[in-house]
Amino acid sequence: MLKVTQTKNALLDGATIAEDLYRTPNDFEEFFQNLEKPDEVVAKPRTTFLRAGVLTTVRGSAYMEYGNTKVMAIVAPPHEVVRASARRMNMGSLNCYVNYAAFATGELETVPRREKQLSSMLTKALEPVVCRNEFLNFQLDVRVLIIEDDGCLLSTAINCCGVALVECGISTYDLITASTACIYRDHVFINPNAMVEELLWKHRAGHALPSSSDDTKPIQEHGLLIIASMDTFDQLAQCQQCGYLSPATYTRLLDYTLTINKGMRQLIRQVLLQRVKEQHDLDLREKAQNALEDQRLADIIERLKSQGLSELINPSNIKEDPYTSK
Amino acid sequence: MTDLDASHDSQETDSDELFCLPGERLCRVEDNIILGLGTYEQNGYIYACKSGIVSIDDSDENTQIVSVHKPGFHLTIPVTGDIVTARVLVTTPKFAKCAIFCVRNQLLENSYRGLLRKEDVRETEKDRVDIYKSFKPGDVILARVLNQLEQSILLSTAETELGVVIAYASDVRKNRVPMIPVGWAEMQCPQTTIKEPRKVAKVLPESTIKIEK
Repeated sequence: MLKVTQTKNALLDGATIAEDLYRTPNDFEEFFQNLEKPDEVVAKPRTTFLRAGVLTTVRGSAYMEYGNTKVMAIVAPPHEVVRASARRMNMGSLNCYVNYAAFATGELETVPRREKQLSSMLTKALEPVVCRNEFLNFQLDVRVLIIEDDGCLLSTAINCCGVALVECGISTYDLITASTACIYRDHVFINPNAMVEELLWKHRAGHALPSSSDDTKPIQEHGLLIIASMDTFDQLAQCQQCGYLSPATYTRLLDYTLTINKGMRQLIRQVLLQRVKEQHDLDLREKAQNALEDQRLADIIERLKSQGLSELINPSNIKEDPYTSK
Repeated sequence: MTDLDASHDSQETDSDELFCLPGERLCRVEDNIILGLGTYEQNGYIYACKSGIVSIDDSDENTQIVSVHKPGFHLTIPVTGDIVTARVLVTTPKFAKCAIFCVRNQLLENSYRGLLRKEDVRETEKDRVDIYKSFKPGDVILARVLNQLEQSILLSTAETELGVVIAYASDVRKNRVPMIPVGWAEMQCPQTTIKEPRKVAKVLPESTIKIEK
């Protein structure tokens, strides 16, 4: 049996990386046989952990666990464009940077390329959702750190970034949710894990399909679909697709992803609402404290007015400045 | 979908505040309703574009402003017309470069680049302005945002209330002595009584103009 996950562990132990795991067509068969195949399609998000505002040093941050996939997103307030771009835009620009944590992946050679690809796809997905007219001539940087990759990487990153954007207070037209579905040998995988994605990736050109030698049989459908949607206006923000899909299958997969997105949206709404309430309570508490302080000062002023300035010398009235005490 | 969400939302909130999230439909666009902060208009409806608390304020007798206020951190970007507080970094014969660190009465997390051109220093006798007689690096100035350029924000101090508010005497000693304004174009060091030229701001009480604490 092939063990994909072993490469990751072997790398940590200092062992060499296996060059190519799938050499012979038989390997594919075996690998596929050992895969856990779902009996029925359940269009539901994986078990998810999502939290907004995980970092105190950055204003907008979010951490998300989607099954085993772990992703962190950071949004900093917009700043001036660094390079003077020749074209004058009437919109703020959006830049996404995706980075793998050093321990997140085994295949280090392809990391820069994959990071670049993910960044550009993430930028495309987030551009329609951000109100870019609000920060003219500014640029917004979104940074994503991938801590663990177990499939659905892009969709998790999009979900996480959406939360981080709202947390930072960047105006967005809607909440954005994304999900992944794929089909391989008539098996529909919802939220495919790393193994299934790897299998599809090896088949991306369609050359190693077992049925391709048989001319009478049509080519088997295999493909991956990533959909990011904004449900208020029923818009698709990003539609990423690879492989070979017939229109009917395409619609089927699309429907699955949209259903997952709806489920995801409920979760994101819950998290964000809770966060807003949390912050609202904090604000109220701060306001109450300030009011108390103001009241204390007003009392002192009142007393000074009635008793004269001798009160001023009383050391109990002099409160230490919190900034100097630091 | 959205209407469902909204009803679901109002059930959840036990207090009288109405919380909303981006993309939530707030109300229909009508003549007597004005879009406030954190909202946008689409297809005849007003939607929220920020997470926060919906507030409906009366602007006058029969118009209302719908706005969304986000608790906690609020993002501020200087826009045209804002009064900003900036620190002068570099002066050249043509312009002064500044770092904007406060917009209206909100302190920023990171400073924005500001550019104050020679023509925008004061209202009268624009041709006889010398930057070096108006600002020195290290001064804290109040200015109004004119425009947003590609790389920096264009500022102006062409009002009596705008200009240098805090300046330190330029002597070699380490301890920086804040100077006292004497007249609209001069500031004096209280220790050495040396006068230095500055474009001094006539700082008004906080009720008329918001300045930093």
